[in-house]
Amino acid sequence: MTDSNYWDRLGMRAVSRREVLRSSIFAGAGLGAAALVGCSSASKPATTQPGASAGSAASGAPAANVRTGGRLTEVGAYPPSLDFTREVTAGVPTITMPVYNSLLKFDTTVELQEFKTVQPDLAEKWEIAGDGQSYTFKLVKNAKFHDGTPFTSADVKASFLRQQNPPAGVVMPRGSQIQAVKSFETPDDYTIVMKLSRPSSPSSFLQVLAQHWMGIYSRKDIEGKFDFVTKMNGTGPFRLKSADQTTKISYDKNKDYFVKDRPYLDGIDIYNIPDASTKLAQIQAGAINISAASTEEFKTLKQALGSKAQFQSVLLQTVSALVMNSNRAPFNDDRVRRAMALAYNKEDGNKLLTDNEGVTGGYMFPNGGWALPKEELEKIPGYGPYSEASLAEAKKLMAAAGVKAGTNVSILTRQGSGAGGGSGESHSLFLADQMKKIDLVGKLDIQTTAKEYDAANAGNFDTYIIALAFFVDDPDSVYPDHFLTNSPLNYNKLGSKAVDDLFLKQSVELDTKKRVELVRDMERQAVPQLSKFVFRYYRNRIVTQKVKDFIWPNHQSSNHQMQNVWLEA
Amino acid sequence: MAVGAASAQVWFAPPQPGRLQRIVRVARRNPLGAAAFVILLLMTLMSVFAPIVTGGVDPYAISTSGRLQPPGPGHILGTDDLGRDVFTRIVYGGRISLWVGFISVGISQGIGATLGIVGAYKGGWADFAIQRVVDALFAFPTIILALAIVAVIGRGLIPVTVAVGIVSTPRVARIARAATMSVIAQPYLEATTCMGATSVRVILRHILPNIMAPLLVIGTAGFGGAILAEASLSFLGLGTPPPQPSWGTMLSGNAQLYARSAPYLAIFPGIAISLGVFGFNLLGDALRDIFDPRLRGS
Repeated sequence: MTDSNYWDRLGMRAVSRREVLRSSIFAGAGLGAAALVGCSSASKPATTQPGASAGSAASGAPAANVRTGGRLTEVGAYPPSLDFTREVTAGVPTITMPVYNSLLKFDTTVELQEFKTVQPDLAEKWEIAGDGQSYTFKLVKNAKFHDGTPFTSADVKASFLRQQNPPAGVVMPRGSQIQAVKSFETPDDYTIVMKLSRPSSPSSFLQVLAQHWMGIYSRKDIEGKFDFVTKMNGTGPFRLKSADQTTKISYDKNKDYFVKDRPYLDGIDIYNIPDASTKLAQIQAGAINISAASTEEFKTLKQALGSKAQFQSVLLQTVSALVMNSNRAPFNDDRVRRAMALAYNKEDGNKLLTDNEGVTGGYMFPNGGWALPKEELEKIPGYGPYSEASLAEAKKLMAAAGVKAGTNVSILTRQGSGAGGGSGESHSLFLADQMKKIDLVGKLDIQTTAKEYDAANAGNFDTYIIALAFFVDDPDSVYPDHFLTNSPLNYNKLGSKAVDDLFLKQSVELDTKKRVELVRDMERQAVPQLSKFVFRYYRNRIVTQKVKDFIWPNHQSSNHQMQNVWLEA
Repeated sequence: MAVGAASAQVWFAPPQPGRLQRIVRVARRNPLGAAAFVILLLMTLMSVFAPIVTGGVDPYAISTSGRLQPPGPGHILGTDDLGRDVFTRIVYGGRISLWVGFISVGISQGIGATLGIVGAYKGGWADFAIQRVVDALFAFPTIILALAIVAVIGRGLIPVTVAVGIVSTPRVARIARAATMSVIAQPYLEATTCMGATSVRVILRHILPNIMAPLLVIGTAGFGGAILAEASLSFLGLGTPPPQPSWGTMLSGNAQLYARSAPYLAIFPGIAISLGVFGFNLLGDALRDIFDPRLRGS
C-alpha cells in the first residue's frame, strides 16, 4: 500500500491538522472524528463517516431485519486475570470487553480500524481545545454499572488515575499512553476535562481512549478494593454470569444497558476447547458461532462448511518478535544481538510457521501510513532478505564478540504449538535451529501463559519469543508500551535518548506530514536497536456461522463488545 | 527296594533339555508371548542403535523444503510440519519410552515392594499406616495423580518418569504385601526366624526371592502402562518437552492440526505406542503363565 493511498483514505491530503484544531471543534459522534482528520472546515458535516452511522446504533435506533435473542457461542480461553488494565495478552478483550465500556470505541463493522472509525461509547460528544492540550468529554447520563451504581465522571477519573498510578506491585502497561494527561477535572457528573501537559494529536489521543484497555471501572470498586482479578463489574452490554477457568465463561444480557434496544443477544458463552480436533468437530457441527482457526483448520473448515460459514483472513497489527535479554550474556553484547538478527532466516520462518502469510515490518504496522517503506526497512540488518552474506556477517560478529561455541541460551516459550500464531513451541524450535548457525544452543523454557509473563517481567530469560498485539496503529500507542527506554514492556530496556526525544517531538507535532517524517526517523533509529526483533506480522483466520454485524479487525479483539451483534435464525 | 527304585529312576531319566530347547518349548507354549518378546527386542535394539537404524538422520533437523512430505522413498514415514523425519523421531522416541518404562518401573517396584513387604512382615501400626497411604494413592485416578505430581515438580523427562513411577507404586505395594503374607505363613520362614535370622536377612534372603514372580509379572505389565502414561502426559503438554522426540508429544500439538491433510503424523506414533504397550502386556501375560504352577502343565 502506498503512502498517498493510505493518507488519502484518511482524508488528510488537503489540510493540516493544525488548521483543524485552530477552529476548536465541538463534535458529536462521527462528526468529531471526521473533523479531526482534516476536513477543510470543522463545520463541514461528516455524513459518510462510519462513526456517524454507528452513532445512530449507539442511540438505539432499530436496525432493519435484526433478529433479537439467542446465545452466541465462541471459542476462547480464560485469561491470566479479568483485570484488563494489567494484562497484555490479546485474548483478554475477548473475555472482558462484553462487560465494559470505554469513553470511545471503534466501529466494529470495518476491518481496518483507524482514528476515522472512532465512535462514541460512554462519551456522547467531545470538544478539543485549539492548542490540543485540553479534551472535554460529555458523558451519557443513563449508564449504570452492573451492581446498580450510576456511572459518572468520577468513575472515568478514578479509572484513568488508577492506570497512571497503579497499585503497588502491579504493572499497567497502557498507563504510559495517558501519561501526558496532567489532570482530570470533573465540573459535573457528566463532564470530564482532561488537561494535557503537552499537545497531543487528536488522531492519536482519541484512538488511545477508544481502546478497550481504557475501559471504565467503577470508582466505588477502585476505592473499595474490588477484586478485579476474578470479578467484573462494568457498564457494558453483558453481565458476567459464570466463569469457569477450564470450561466456559458465560454472560447474560444487561437489561439496564444504556443504549436502548441493545444488545440483541440474550447472552454469550465462550468455551475453552484446547483440543484442536474437538474444536473442529464443534465448529463443523454448528455448535460454535465464532472461532479463530489455524491455516490448516481454515482449509479444512472451508471444505467442510462451504457457504454455511463466513471465512475472514485479516493481517493483524500483531507481531511475532524476539526479545534478547541485554542484561545477560551473551546478548549483553550488541554484536551478538545483531548476529542473531542476521542469522535468522525470516523467509524460512514465514514459510514454516505461518504458511507464507506473514508480512515483514518494523514497529509500525506495514499496511499503515507510519511504517518505513519496504525498501528502506530492508536495509536495516536482519530486516532484509536472508542470504549467505548475512550469515557470514553474523558469524564475523559472533567471532568478534568472542562467544564460545556451544553456549547455552534459554528460549522462554509459551506452552502450546503456536501454529499460525506469533509464539509457541514451533516458533522456539525454529529459533533454536537458527541459533545453531551461529553456534548457540537454544534450550526451550516452556511455561504456561501466566508464568511466561512473570518470567518476562522478572527478566528471567536469555531470549523470549513474544506475540505482541498493537491495538492502535499510532506511534503514541505503540511506542510508549514497548520501545521507549522506560516502556513497561521494554523487557530489556534497550532504547536511546534520541528515540525518546523523537517520540515526544512527533507526539506534539500536529502537522501530519511532518509527523510521519518524525515517526519514520524514529523507526530508523529504534528498529536497529533490536529492543524487539520483529520476525513478522501475521494473520488471523476467523470462521463465523450465523453471526451478523461482526467483523474481525486489524486491532485484535477490539470488536468483542458485541453490542450490535445478532444471530441469524 | 526303595533305594533301588530311586536309582533306577535316576538311571532312566530322560536327558535335560538345553537352554535353547527350553526357550523354544516356552515359545511354542506361548506364541503370543514369544511374538511380544520379538517386538520388544526389536524395539529395544532400534532405540539403542538409533543412529545406525536411521542412517544418521538428525531427529531435530528442521527443513523448510521437506515440510509435510507424505510417506515415500525419501522419508518412509513422511515428515512433520517442521520438516523433521517421522521415522527417525519415532525411533529416537523409543528411547524416551524405554527410559521412562525402565526407570519408572524401577521406582514403583523399589518403593512398592519395600512398602508391601515391610507392611506385611511387620504388621501392626506399620502395616496399617502403609496401607492407608496406599489406599489414599489408589483413591486418585492414575492420570490425575500423575498430572498433580508433574504440576508440583515441573515438566520434563525426569519429573514425568518420577510421576509415572509414583502412580504405579500402590499397585506394586498391594501385590507385594499379598505375596509376602502368603510366604510368611510358610513354616520354613518361622524356622528361619527361630534360628535367629534378622528381619533384613529374612526379607532379602527368604521373602524377596519367593515373591519375585508376581513382581516380575506386574513390572512387565507396568512397563506398558508407563509408556502409555508418558504418552498421555506428553499429549496433554505436561510430559517430555520439545524438541525431544517422544511418541506422546508427536501425537499432540501439530499432529492434531494436520489430522486431515497429514494423518500419518498421528498414525505412526500411535502405532508405535500401541505396539509397545501391546508387547509389554502380552509379555506380562506370558510371564504370568510361565510362573503360575497351575498353568505350567497345560
